[in-house]
Amino acid sequence: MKALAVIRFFFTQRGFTEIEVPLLVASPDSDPSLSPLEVRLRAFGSSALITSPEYSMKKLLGKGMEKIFYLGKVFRDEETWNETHISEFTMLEWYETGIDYRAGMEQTRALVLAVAEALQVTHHPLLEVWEMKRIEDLFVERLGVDRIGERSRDELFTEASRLGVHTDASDTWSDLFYRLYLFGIEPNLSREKATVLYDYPLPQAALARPCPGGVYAERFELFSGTLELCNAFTELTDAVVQRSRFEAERRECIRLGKPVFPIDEELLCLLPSVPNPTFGNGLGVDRLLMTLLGGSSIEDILLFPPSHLFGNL
Amino acid sequence: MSSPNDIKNGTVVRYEGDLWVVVSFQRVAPGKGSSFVRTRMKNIQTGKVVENNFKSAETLEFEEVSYLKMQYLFSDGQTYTFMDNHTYEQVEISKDMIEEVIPYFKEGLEVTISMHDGRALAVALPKKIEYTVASAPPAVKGDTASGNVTKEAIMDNGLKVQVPIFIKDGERILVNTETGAYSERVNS
Repeated sequence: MKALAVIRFFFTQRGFTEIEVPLLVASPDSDPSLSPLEVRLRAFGSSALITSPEYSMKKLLGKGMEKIFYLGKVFRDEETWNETHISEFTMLEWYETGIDYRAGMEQTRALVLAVAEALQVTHHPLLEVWEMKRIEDLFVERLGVDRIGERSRDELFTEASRLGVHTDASDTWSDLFYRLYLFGIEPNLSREKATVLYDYPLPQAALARPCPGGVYAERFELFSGTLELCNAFTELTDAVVQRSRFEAERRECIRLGKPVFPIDEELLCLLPSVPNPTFGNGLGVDRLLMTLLGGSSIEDILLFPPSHLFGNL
Repeated sequence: MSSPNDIKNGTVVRYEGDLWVVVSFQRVAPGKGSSFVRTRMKNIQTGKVVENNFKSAETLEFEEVSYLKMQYLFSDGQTYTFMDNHTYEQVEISKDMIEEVIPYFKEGLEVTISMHDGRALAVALPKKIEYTVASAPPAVKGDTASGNVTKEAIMDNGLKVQVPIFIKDGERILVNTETGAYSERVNS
């Protein structure tokens, strides 16, 4: 059985329902760091292709579905294409109500092992024990910065200048966090291991349920070497917080001169009906297959690589 | 003033009082928030290399650079000489400035040279370059069982590349110069 069939089997066997979502929507993900691919429709006007199936899937959770997965295409209008980023790629996203991110990590590992087995991969860092690293601990270990989640923006400026990290006066708290992360954390992820980074500071996980204490939130990412494979949360189901997040994102899009799409009111309406906890994970299938098969580029595992469709990139 | 989004290989940036030439760059984005351009750049006086992450929304000071298509001619080990095919004008670049790309050079290779203030500073390679495989020893039995689906091959210019095990001596392949990885076999 091949990869996509194994993924479907893995979930259906566990009681999940495969769902389809509309790819063409009026309100795509409003995250300013994502660029939805705009489509002008003769009948409707401005619309876009989804960057992830998240909104539709959360609506289904709000309507009472409990275990759902999507395996299909999503689109992002990347500025450049490279070994790990292309504009059309295969996303696996799944949600299960009643479990949190701890159980979700176990589920993710079982899935990765099932795919590896189907591909007859016998040696790979993803098959070994995954290194578990709390973000707070890693910042101490690699950068000597303690209590990262409690630090003010000014304190992060001071830490950055102590470490010789370039900053800009316009930097937000999240920008500074990410500069430190790019400087000392990501480049030092072990090439020979798989690592799970978890418990991100709240501003880096605004859609995840806060951890006890309220400084960090229940988000994890899985890396194979330095390649990010998935991004998972115990989902936040607070519509008030979600609305203020959407509005902040809209303001940021306007400031950056990016297209602004209407807020998805139906999602905000249904969000309070999503049970707590609910676990959600979005995993890049092309990247998973590429790393398991030892490729150095997503192109290596595609039957129709973009460089053939669009010419030599 | 320019945006980090306009950075290319060979861009010359005035940063903290010095001039730096961009050696390589990559766009990176966290799950949420601003995107950044991870930039490796070389000081054009001292040759020192640093890595900086510039936020897309920052402004940077770019120096004016002209880009010339030139052909690689030869090297004496310390300097590398290139020629403009139209004017026959030749320029030299010292080894220290272009160390990263030297392994890809082969006679007659067409490259793009960044010229700043009359000085050649950087060499941008084509994204993919064709080589003939000089030596590709057959794969050892057991290689695939341990998860190895590639083997090392040496190109006609000395470049070493990991290639799929079906590649044989004398075949022509394309190599991706950004990653150093095998791209595809060229069918004649």
